[in-house]
Amino acid sequence: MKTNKMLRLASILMVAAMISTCAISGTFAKYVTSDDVADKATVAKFGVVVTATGSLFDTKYTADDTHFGYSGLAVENTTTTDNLVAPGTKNTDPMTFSITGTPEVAVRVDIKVNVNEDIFLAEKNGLPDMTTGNPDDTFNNTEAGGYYPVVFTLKQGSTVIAEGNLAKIKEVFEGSKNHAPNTDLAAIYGEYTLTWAWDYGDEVIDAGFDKHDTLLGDLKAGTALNPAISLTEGPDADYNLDIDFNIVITVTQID
Amino acid sequence: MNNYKSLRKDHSNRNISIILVMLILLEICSLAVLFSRLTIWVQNENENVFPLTEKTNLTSIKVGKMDSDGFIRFDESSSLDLGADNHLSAIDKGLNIIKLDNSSTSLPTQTPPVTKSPEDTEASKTEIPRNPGFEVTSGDTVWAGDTDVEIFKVSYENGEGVITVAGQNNDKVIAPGTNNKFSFTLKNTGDVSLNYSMSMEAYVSGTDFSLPVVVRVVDHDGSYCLGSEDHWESVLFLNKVSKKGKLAAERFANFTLEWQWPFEGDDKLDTLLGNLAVEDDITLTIKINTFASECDDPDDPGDNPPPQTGEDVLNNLVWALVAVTVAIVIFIYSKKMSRRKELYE
Repeated sequence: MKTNKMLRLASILMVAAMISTCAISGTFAKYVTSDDVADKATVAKFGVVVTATGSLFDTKYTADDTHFGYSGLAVENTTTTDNLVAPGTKNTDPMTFSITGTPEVAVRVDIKVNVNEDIFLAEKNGLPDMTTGNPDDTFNNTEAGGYYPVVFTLKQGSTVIAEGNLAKIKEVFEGSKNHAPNTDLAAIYGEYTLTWAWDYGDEVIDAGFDKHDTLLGDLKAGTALNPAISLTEGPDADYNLDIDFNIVITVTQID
Repeated sequence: MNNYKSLRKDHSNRNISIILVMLILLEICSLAVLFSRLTIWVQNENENVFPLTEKTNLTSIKVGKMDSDGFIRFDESSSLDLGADNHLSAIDKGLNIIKLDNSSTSLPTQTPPVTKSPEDTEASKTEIPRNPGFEVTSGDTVWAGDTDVEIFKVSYENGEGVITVAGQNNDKVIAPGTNNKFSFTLKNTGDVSLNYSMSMEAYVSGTDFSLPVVVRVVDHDGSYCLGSEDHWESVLFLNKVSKKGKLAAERFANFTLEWQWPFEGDDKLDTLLGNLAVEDDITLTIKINTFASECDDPDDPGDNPPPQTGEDVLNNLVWALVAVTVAIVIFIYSKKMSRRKELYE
């Protein structure tokens, strides 16, 4: 009995071995191979930063007049919150612009100066001279292109690149330029500073533009002109009493 | 009792004998399946080998001598009558080639001498070794281990040939407006058919934002594994690409992966990604996996339906024998139990 059981067990095991041999026989000595490759890339860096700091105009300005020995508040707007300018004023906190970054893409830098208004007195003869008190006195504004009392100065680093009215600043500063990938924009552009001044003059009485400045001031105040004359206000008219402009700097990837 | 014992012993012995016979049959079938890939003698490829023919003892052949130019010249005067038992005597006489030619008038074409070992000229089965081979190439580069492939580039040019994107330190980069096509070929360089599979993977690291990179994959016959002619899929859809097929000997399958980062897209997202990349790398990785294994039928023509081969039939036969064996064992056992029951009754 025991022998038969052993024989049966052996037989079953042999059958199982044969079955497994048949099942795996098809996989013996089969050629198998594989190949894998991988590639990776990083997103190209951009990181261009355009900054603008400072403010050009204020509601009041101080004076440090060595001639008359006065130091203190010289100009102040007491009626509105508008910024103002006047003969002898200038900004002490320059506006600065900078473009920094080393993008891994080609870029175009666009600088746009939009001039809406500037203070000026048009080139004209027979303008009323409001400095003498004589109602019949007149003067001629012979400044070619008009008298622009506020003079802007634009520097790149420590180098003055433009000086004059806003149109002059626009002429020099505005433009577009393309740059190849990996250009250090800070090295190309550096830092720009923009300042302005309404020159008062060193003389006790500066006969240069006093009549122009006084007329502009009286026009702002609404003082009756003597002799009477009809003058129109506007950016393209006989005079203008406001400054309005903006500077837009854009850096765009080029395709 | 002794009769009963002897009767039982007889039955046991008979049962065991039946099982052993079945097992031997199974073993023979298993070995046949296992070694069924032995090379098959092919008559056409070995002209200088005696084929298996009917033994008539009257085999007549023409033999030639090699001259100083290395050519073998056959002529009527060199005919020999060799009996079936003397087929090696030509070699013994120093003749290099024996060409079996039934024609008695025409001279066979002169061929340069081919050195054959004596074993090759025996009238017996000849084995032709199978040489499987597989390689993947992209351009002139054969993939092997850490092969550097150019799915991405270090720099990209626009239509006017101006470089518009370039990685620092020769790093490969992607950016809005960049794109590339990468083609690779799976080749069966051997002489047996292969099963192949190709799959792709893609993943992004360094950000949780999705990259606006889109892809499509087209195979050798112009059909798209991913995307279509006018539709691109997000790059992460590459993880779904999986292609399988068969390559006959010396055939190949070509695939092309195209990707692009559209220039006109979400400018805010593009700029955000570009600025984030300044602090930490945002990386896109694409991986291509290929795999090949020998076909069960080495002569499989490829991606056509394979013919039924003897191996499949043999496998079925083996399983049939196993089933019959099990049935016989069960039958014998049940009969034995019933007889025992009768004896006790």
